[in-house]
Amino acid sequence: MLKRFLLPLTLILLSALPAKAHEGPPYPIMVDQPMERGKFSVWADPDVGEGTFIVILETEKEEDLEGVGFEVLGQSHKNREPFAGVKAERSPEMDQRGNLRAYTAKLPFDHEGKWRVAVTPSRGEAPAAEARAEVDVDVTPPGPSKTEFVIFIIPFIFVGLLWGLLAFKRRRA
Amino acid sequence: MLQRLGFPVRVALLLLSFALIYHGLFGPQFAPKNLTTLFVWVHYRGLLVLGVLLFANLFCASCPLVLWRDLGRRLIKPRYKWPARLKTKWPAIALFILVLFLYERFDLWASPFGTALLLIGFFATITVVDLFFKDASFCKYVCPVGQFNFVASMMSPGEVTVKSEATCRSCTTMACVKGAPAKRGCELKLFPPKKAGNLDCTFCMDCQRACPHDNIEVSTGLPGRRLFDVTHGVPGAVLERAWARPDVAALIIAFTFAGLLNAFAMVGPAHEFQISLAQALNTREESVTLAILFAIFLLALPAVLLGATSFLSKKSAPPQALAIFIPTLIPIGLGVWAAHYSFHFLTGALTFLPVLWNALALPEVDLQTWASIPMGVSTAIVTPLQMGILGLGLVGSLIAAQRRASRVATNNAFAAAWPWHLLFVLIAIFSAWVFTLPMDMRGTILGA
Repeated sequence: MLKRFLLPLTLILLSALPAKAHEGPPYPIMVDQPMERGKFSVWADPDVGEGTFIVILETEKEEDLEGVGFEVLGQSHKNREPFAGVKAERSPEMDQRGNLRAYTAKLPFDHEGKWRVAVTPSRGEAPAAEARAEVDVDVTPPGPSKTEFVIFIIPFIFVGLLWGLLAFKRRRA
Repeated sequence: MLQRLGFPVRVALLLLSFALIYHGLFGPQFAPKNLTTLFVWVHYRGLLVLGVLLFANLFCASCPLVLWRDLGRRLIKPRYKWPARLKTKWPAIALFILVLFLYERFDLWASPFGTALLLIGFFATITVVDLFFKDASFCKYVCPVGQFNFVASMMSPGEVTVKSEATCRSCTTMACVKGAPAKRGCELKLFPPKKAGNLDCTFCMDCQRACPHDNIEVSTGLPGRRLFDVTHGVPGAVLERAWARPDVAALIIAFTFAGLLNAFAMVGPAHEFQISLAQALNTREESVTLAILFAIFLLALPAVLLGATSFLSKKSAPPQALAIFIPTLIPIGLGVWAAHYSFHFLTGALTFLPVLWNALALPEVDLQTWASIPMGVSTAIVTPLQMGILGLGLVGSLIAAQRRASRVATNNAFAAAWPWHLLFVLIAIFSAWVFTLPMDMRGTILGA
């Protein structure tokens, strides 16, 4: 019985090779980082060209949501230029029930590879340097290249042809 | 194997269900940080379709609701038979559409509390139905997820079949459906020697347990084989009668077009369409615009497309062309669902890890460790996989239409089949377009 499943299983397993670097939808890079009167989490979609970072602020009390900002900075491992950053903008459409606020920042990534990303919260005008969190992310081109697409679609073409052959062979039999 | 594993898996899933209900009600209300929304809308849906594609209706086979129901029946024995007038798929179709509507209207993918309530709703419904009514009335006539699984598993390689028809012919007990002492028979009233395909089969294996001749097994064969032929013999006749039922046809149509709707509702053009509708109707009530979108995809579009296709096909096919070709929608319909759900599942496969870690209050893990763990499969692989699955769905429908046409329109099968081929290609093109648009990442991060 196992033999009949070998082909589809192999195809699915081959397709499920772990990603060396993440591509596609945002994924969590920081979860529940402590800051003054709250905590923040960060989801990243680090594509070459423009990377998107979604910062989620959570507080115990609603009043602690006010006056909070985030700066998101990036530094390439390749050329080690100083961190360049942008201020995250409020994204009220992503706010949730409870004391949750969302912010979005878009960082320019001019090449793929490892980048160090830092997120610094601030209350009022003063950045809270002690709450700054840093992590390395892999910046990659968005989506598959044409070659990659062709390579990964070939097994499906093969399976489709085989399926048709077997279906019509059964009929003749 | 299914017999042995069924019970322990159901126990584990029942406990998991309780944990998810708890986390949904009392855990973080931010969906990407809640196990309920992650497991239900990312993992469960993805594993469901992958399981059906690779093997059989594994989810019904391991459904924790059945264990819950069995525990309840130790206290309360059902006394009534399911009403004859409701022995159709219409109640389940209505519930299927209702659940989809609630999902869209209340953004259940972003609501741990709402998702928990949905789970509670399932438990409550099976409790009421199956403690009042005998047999597997909930599974066969009510459960919306079950109906989805029944239709989808017509494409599965695995099927519950008899080993020897001669053994069944000589059997006098019919224990497989009537039951034996201390062993229940099939509660969905499927008689294995006359059963073809997986429609209404939950793979509970009660028939195998009850059979005194050890004559029932899970066999495997070419996916979609039961759709490819207008089959003959007793099992084939039973299946063909099922396809000719209006409620079964409606179920297949709802299954297919709801797949298009569910994918389309997650992309920009759908949101823009609803905004335009709202402005045109001067309303701010989302239920109204959503209801119109549902009516378009589930009523208007099928009526127009299937009507035109059937009209064109009838010229070369017998008058009952629609009934003959309706089952051929199943492969492309499953292709759309599978492509959609596998995208979300594979791209967010491990996103539950940091959430589960925090929920269990395990020792803190440094940032770099989490960031270095790939949370999903690269879209360099998932995108072609998605298109490949959709393509295979298209191939399955093309084969099914051509094969069924050649059985009933022997003079010119292609003349009867080509309108259906065109319909399937249109569905595939539309779906491929939708899949290339940015989608709300439901379950893993908030959508707009």
